[in-house]
Amino acid sequence: MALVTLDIHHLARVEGHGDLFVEIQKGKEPRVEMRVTEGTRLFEAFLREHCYSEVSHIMSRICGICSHSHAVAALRAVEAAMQIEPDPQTIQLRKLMLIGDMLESHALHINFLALPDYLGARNVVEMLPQYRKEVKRALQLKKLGNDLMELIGGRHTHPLCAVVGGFTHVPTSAQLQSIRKRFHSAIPDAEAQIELMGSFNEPKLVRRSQYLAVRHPTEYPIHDGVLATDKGLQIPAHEYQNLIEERNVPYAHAKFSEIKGEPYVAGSLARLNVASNQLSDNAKRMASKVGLKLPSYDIFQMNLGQAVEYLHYLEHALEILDDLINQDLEAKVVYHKIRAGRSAAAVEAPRGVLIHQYRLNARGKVLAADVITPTAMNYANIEADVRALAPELLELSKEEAELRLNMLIRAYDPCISCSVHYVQTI
Amino acid sequence: MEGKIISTENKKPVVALYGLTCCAGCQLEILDLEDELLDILGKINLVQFRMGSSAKHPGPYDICFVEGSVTNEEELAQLKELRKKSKILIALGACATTGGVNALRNGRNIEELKQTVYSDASHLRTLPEILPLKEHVSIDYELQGCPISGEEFIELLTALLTGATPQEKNYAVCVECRIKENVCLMKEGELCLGPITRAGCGARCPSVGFPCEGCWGPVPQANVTSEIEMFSQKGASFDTVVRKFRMFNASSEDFMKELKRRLNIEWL
Ligand code: SF4
Ligand code: SF4
Ligand code: SF4
Repeated sequence: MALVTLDIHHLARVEGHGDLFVEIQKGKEPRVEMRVTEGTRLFEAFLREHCYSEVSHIMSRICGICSHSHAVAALRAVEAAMQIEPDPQTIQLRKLMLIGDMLESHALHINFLALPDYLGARNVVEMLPQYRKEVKRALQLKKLGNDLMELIGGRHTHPLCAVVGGFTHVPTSAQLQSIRKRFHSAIPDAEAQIELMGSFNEPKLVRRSQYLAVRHPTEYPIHDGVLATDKGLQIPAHEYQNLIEERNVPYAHAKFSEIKGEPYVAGSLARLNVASNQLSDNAKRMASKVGLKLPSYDIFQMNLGQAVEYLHYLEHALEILDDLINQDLEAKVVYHKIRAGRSAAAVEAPRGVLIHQYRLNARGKVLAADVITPTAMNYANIEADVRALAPELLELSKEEAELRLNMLIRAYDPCISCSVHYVQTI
Repeated sequence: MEGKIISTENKKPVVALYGLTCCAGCQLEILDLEDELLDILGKINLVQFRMGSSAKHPGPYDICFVEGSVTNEEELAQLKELRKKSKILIALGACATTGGVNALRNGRNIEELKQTVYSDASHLRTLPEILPLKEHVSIDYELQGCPISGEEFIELLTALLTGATPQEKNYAVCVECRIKENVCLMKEGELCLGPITRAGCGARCPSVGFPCEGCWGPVPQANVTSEIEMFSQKGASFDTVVRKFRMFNASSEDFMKELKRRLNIEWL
């Protein structure tokens, strides 16, 4: 094809509403616009009448798929603003909430959103006749994440009992034992999922970008740490505004974001490129078994990367569960004084770095809020990738080009409801 | 409502699932029925489910589920279109049945809200008020909650597929809470909306030590006056009462009318 003009309305199998507009012509600079069309929700604005204790319950409603990540980011940011130190038990339980989100979301994305393309199906129902076993396995892997969130957060979507300073309810030792057993026996399935995703070598798009993740001295990115890029930039999370620049684009209801004037990647590949040495031994072994070489600059390996992470996070959860089973957990909330302050926190959500910032007054009322989601972080990079793909697209039929572009966008696992935030500087 | 939709081996009902502006948590709740999902998919012909499928189907539909709120004119047109195309239209979740957290913008200055989040808000078209879907078009059934309960979804679908009449729960969360023998948080001094909120969640929040925030919407004949009274007796300020009531119900007439009258607040 000499000219590709594609206007993919309502990208399917991504979470939220977006369109992609592409115009490619030989010898001309391609026009690429990732148009985010989801209606506006004004979260950061209406949050302003609310009290610090309500923030996490409201903000988890930004996104159903990563509600526990939003809740933990919100709780940690509010606590930082009010100088509250959660105790070790609370931190361990919150890590399990984040891991639950990872497991559920990764299993959903890998098997139901990304995999159909690789198998020539339009959805999981079409995969069923041939791949019933794989679909059933995927459902069980997804359920594990949900059941963990249900157990720790009180509900698998929009957690209930995680509050500022602690938890209003904790699982019993017997409940932890029983979920531990199930996690342990899921290891072979998690490995099989890696083998399946590792069996696809096409398509590829190798382009070195920058990769951003939350780096911690002793554990693979999840709950806290500094913001770090693969190129060696590093900054404390609450100073994120000195690292991440945001700009408005006229065609999207979301802000686009850059580091040092260049697009960057958040998500599985970014975590792997920044911290692959911190993966569990088993996850490392499986990654090399299927030939995933790290660092990797092939964006389609986001999918395989998630499969490898699934195994890692499963094993990380096992470690935490082992630790908690030997303690007598109790529902407790640390005593705290309500005070004015401003701070931010960054966690790893399934799709990448998630930042929440709040400014509170002396009565604990929200004065201002700022949220940067991983999907919004990735938009500029998606556009850069589409430009890089342009020459190849000219060689394809319209249908093939459309499929390739859809696959590219789905590799980012975008969550568009998440990204629709017009964020205020505070 | 039109005739019953009965599923048989050779004629499966055509079902669609749409999302307006929301967090997609209610659609997800359906995908999260991991143990029942394959069974459900065997009984219906799910033709439109953008979050899970790139297949498209123009309609008409026997059953159409819609989650989310109408936030702009395009979404309103889409909802009206879906109404025309669907025999049974079902509103899914708080965003669709009460406006949910989206309705927290109601009663506030929309231009100011827009300015807060955009440097230039001139191109942003968004409605100043979020209403339940039933205020825009006629709705046949509602599933409440933020998110909906998977069990209630299965109950409703099963009733529709077998020709049974779906049961409505016309009692309060407190009833479910007492069946679970929970300690009453209200008696412990907390502000709980359980007495005036429709049951269906199984008293989820109080069961894990957190007071009900009202996400299932008002129970029929809610005694709002006595709830306001109880909150005040516990020392809650006007501001707190209003915030608690508005959380998921800023566009529920039942709650807001009484608040307005009792507390003499004009803007609600
Ligand atoms: S009702 Fe709640 S869970 Fe459902 S879509 Fe709306 S915000 Fe999400
Ligand atoms: S805790 Fe709430 S829902 Fe439960 S009985 Fe008391 S007031 Fe009712
Ligand atoms: S207890 Fe109240 S807030 Fe909690 S899920 Fe039930 S209705 Fe919603």
